[in-house]
Amino acid sequence: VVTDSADRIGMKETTDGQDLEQASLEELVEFSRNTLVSSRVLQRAAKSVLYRARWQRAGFNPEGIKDLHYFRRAPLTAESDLVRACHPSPVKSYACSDVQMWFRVTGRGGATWWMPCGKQDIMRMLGLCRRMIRVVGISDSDLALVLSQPAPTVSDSLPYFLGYAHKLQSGARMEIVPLSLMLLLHRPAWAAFFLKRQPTILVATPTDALQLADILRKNMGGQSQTESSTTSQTAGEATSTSQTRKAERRGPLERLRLALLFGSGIGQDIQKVAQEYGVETFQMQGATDCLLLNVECQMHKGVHIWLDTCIAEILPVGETAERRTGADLQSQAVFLHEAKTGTRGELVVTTFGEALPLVRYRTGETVEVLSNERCRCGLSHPRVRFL
Amino acid sequence: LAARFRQQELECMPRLQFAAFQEEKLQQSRLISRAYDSALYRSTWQKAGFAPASIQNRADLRQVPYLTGSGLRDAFATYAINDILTSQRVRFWFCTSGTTGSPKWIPYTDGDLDVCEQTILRSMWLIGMDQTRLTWLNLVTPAPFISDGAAHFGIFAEMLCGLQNEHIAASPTEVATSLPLASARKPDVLSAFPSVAARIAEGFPEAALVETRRRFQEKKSLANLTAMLLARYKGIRVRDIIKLRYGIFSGESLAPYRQTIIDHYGLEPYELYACTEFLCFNVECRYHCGIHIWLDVCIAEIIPQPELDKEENTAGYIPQALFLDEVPIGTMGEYVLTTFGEALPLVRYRTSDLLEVVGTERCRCGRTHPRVRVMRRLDDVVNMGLVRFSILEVEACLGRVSHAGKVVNWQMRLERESCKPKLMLLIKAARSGAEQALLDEIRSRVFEIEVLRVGCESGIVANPDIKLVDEIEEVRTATGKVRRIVYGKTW
Repeated sequence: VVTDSADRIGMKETTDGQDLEQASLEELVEFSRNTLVSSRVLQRAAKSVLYRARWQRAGFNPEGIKDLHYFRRAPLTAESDLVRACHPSPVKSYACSDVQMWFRVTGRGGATWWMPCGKQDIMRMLGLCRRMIRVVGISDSDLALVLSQPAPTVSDSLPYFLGYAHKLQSGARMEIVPLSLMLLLHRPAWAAFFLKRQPTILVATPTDALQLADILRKNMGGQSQTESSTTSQTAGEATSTSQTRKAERRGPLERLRLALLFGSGIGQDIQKVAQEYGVETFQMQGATDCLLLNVECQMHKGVHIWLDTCIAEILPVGETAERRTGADLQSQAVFLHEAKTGTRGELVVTTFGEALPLVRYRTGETVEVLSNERCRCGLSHPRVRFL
Repeated sequence: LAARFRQQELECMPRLQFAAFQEEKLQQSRLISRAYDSALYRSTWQKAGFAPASIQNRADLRQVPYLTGSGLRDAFATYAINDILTSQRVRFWFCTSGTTGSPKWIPYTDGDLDVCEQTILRSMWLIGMDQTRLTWLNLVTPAPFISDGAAHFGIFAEMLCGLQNEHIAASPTEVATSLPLASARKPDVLSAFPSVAARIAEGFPEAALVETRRRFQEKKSLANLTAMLLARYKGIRVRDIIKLRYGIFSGESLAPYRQTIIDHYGLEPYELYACTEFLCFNVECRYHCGIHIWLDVCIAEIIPQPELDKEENTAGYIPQALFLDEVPIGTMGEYVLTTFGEALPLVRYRTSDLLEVVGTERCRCGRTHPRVRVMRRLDDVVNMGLVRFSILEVEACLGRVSHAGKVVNWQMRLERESCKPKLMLLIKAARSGAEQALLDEIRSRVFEIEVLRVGCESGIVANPDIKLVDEIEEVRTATGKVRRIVYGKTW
């Protein structure tokens, strides 16, 4: 699919993969396998200081890549590898192609690393935004309040990616109010504007969404804290799969109809957001570190992992707990498309990034494979539950 | 300095053609009839008694009442937003800093963003930043302030025209964490508030000393030792680490900071003028003889200072504005803006910015668009660059002084300490306690203005001086209004 935007910037390749959105699992696996080889992702990655020495030590030669079998010899990449490569600052050979934007990622342990983003990466993000908008069911008449963290985070750019995903592809439209929650905390009276404009969609981390509710309650005479759920739920259940979570509508955002929630380790808080706002929630994963926008569809049967944008693997639970990166560990990972339903483990992804492909990157997210079957929404991209 | 143009025909349009060009755009865009449909204008215009059809050329615009910042703000408080908008295809909303009360929220459609993108690119060509791949360090204020959006719109604009620059963005709170990346990536361009750039430069030698010491402790190499000794005995400036070529400075006047910035950064600074209400990048060219105001995307007027004075001195007087391309050089006055915007066109919007016209003839760069110098604010905003607040806030804080005395009268003088804005507060008080106790109380009350406190703590502005005086030499307008802000000689 060559979109308007692609035409405008003279690109010839697919920018939003709408054709692959509907592809069968076999076609997706074939596509990702071909992309891995033909786009020379690993050879490009080998230019980066992030991989070069480690791969040499492990005896992994990216030139030998012919299939997914050989691919599994590549060492896993942990967050600590990225942090180390960026300390005290990323050297020139960190990125493996021209960089357009830099994003700072804060890891689970609080350490930070930098994610370079090339032109193709931005175009892919725009494409994934368009896909997300379709899958979640955002329409032309929607107004999104996007709560972001200040630059240089990915979330700071998210409202503009969402806006330009539409702007560059004429026709569809979504109105966006970008808002740094940090500023709103200092200027709570600003909320008066979006209380008047009434957003229909909230895009935020669950923490920010809950904080917003708190601000609205304190400053706008919103209703008191909602009661806790009458049914106790585990973290797993909270993130899942539970059906459309439309609860009793609460609070002053009267037209809000859905919340799109991103960030890592957000499982438990999603249900709180659903309860707080009384809206349908969608989980979006991978946005802030690997520049992937895996998202739940309207069936709410797990988060679809877009197999045309990455190769996904699961590192079984026992191995995850050990947190080792030896050769024995890397061979334990199973491809997501081959994993059995119910398999639990750490999600490992290999992105087809331009400026810095993440190769066998351990996301730190524990997931459960829900299904590799075609979803009722029509998509074949595998679904997982973030635990 | 070979001239380069992005849109040569528009940028070099003969001065005498501006009026015809704008008039054609006035008609094509159906500006007046669209605006008439907006609740922002309708009732005021009806009261003024003119028919949209009577506006045929730009001279006819003089019949149209001015729109003020408070008028814009009040409209959003009074009317349904959809009744104000002239297009329902809004893409983004941004807001002003809200220093005079609640912020003004400004809608942008894709068409409005196109104007922004075009002027961003035009500015890059004008400066000569279109020829090589450049690395940018953008110090942006977070959304919903527009500089965050503008940085992104610039990136998208570059992508669409085939430029491939590298961008590192950081909000003011994240500068420290982003500097290591910036020093590694060797940016060519710095885009920032001048006061923020000056503050970074000021703190850099100390930060460099800490960093070189840390590195030496981490790895005891000769190189690290040399760096540490250099930092300690010679001092390391930004220019010793990062070889910046260009600086794009906006948000406040560059003039007081220009030399400091050149000394510390070794870059060529360019002043940019834009506002949230109309995101158009007006920038100086390489001859640094004023900011070019793009007259093909707006109709610009100036209310000359004598007219402003007359307005202040004569109740009910409506000042007359002149078209920017027709005023004599040296004219100083308030900038009035008419845009052709889609979401919410501004018609004769009084920006409260005081400009001086420095050139209307063809510039040496070849462009014909008039050149101005931005002087200061005309309204009740205390604009100290990144630090902005309203005198209403000062009034409220001083009104809360009660333990050691009461504030009877006050005046604020804006001066500069080196290049930094410095506030001098003159207080006439009725004391009920010790003088020092009163001064302390006043200071603590003034620091309730959070943006001022943070600005002082972070070194963006100098600490305010507070003086108790027996009498305040009041400055008043002829209509009797007290001027609380007085601009000192060092400003």
